[in-house]
Amino acid sequence: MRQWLRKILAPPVFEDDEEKTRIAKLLNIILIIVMVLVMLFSVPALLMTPEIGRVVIELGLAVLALFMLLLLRRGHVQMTGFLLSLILWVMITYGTFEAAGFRGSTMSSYFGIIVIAALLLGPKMGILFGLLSIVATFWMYYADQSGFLPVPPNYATQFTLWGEFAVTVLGVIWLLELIMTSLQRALNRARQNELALAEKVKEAQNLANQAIEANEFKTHLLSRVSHELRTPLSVMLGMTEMLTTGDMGALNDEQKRVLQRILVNSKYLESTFAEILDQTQIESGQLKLKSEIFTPRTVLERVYASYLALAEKKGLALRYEVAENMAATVCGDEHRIQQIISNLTSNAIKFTPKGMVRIRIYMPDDEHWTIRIDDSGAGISPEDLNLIFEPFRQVDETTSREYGGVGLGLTIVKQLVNLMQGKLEVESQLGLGSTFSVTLPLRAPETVPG
Amino acid sequence: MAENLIAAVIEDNEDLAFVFGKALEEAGYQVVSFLDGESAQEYLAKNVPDIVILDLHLPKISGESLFRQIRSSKRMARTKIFLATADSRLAEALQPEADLVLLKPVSYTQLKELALRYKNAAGE
Repeated sequence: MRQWLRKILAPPVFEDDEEKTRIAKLLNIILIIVMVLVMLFSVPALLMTPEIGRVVIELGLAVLALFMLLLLRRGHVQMTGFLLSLILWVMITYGTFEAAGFRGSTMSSYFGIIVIAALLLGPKMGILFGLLSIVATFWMYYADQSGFLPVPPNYATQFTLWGEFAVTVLGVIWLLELIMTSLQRALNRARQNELALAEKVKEAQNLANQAIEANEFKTHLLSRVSHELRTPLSVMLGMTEMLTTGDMGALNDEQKRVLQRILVNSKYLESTFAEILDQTQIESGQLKLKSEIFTPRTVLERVYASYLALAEKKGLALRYEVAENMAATVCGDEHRIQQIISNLTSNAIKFTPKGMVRIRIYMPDDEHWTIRIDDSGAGISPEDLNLIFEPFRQVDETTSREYGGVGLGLTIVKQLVNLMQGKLEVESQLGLGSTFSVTLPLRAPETVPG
Repeated sequence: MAENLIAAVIEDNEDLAFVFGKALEEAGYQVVSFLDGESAQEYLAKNVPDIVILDLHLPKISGESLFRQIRSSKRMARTKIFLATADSRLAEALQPEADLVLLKPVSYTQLKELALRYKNAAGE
């Protein structure tokens, strides 16, 4: 029974709108009070003096209150609030007319209706009902002057006038109290929200710190692991090479072939670790570029010499050219620039089944120099052009074993070029080949005067 | 005279020390190996090798400290130092004073050829 009553009496709750829930709660209280008042006062009065006109009015009031409660349960909070304000306004206007306008006390209730409308429907509706009340007051004055207001009832003595006025004032005080409580609650909620927000911000900061720490740990771990693995790998590479040279005794062809495979695979591992180390260093900002004067031609010759055998093995023509206008020396990080040329050359050889790979250096203007690597390879489709610089993009994993790397080569090139404040461009046509161009400042950024 | 060139391999990894030693032997050097900084320091106090292959991360006395000792010793003014390390940043710092920096993994063939080149230059 209690639960059933609670269910009937409970106002609707709108989880996503606190303000709406608050107003619904207020409307619910007012409507229930109206129902109870009708029950308490009107029913006994009607039983004692059964007047058909009053029965209709009181019953109509009860039905309207019930209708509005149902409307509220359906979620029409705004509409219920408007209906309630309007009905109250009509009742007050009618009551004032009946109670002889200015001569009665009912008119002061207009103030209450303005407060209720403002509270339930917002300040704009408060103003609307205020205007309606002013119009009604003027009309009431006009009616009074014209003499068609009814004669004040006998009971409207001074005593009842003051009594009714006191009830109205009490009602207004009660409403003001409701407003204050509601404002206080809103303020408390705002403070709670603020605290909750501060808590969330702190939580987010903690998470961000955790992420940073985890990333630092990953970088440290990767760098440590790669470093530690390189020592035994050095032993394996060294010893295998030692055997391959025949310094430990002559080998038959099959033994040489097996050793060659060990060597190729060990070098693959080694280049993988080198790539991971480079990537972690770039990512953690530990990679510092040097600024030294060096001869680009020598770098080009070194790269050419180290890739010539591989290109010839594939039947490719590997060429290099130094343009006549090219400066004899440039300033930058020689080792890292060699790494860029090596990675791009290795990449070109890897994806060129036949034809040629050409490395050229030239100066497009007085302040820059360009490393350009052309190949007659398979080319890159326009969709893949954006993807080739992403980490771990290996088109064919079996070829990567032969040429090294885990697919970080081009990513590292792009990052190094960015660090050097250079520009990396790719042009490619499927079936015709690709061109990678790296344009770098002639003088490393750190050494540019001024 | 070239027959008596001495190479000191100072490397804490025994296997790597063996690979370096073998490469230098093949290049015609007489090789002495040390697995820590302390024993190498004792040796260097009494002997003057022609080439030192020096690892930078060593137990007891660091490779860097040994490097400074050799470089500041007039007795070993003619000693060539080949740094063999995986630590590229430390290697870069010492590179201007070193005769050669070999980043690990060091190629056996490359070390043999370099040592041979130095030996021939010393013999000339």
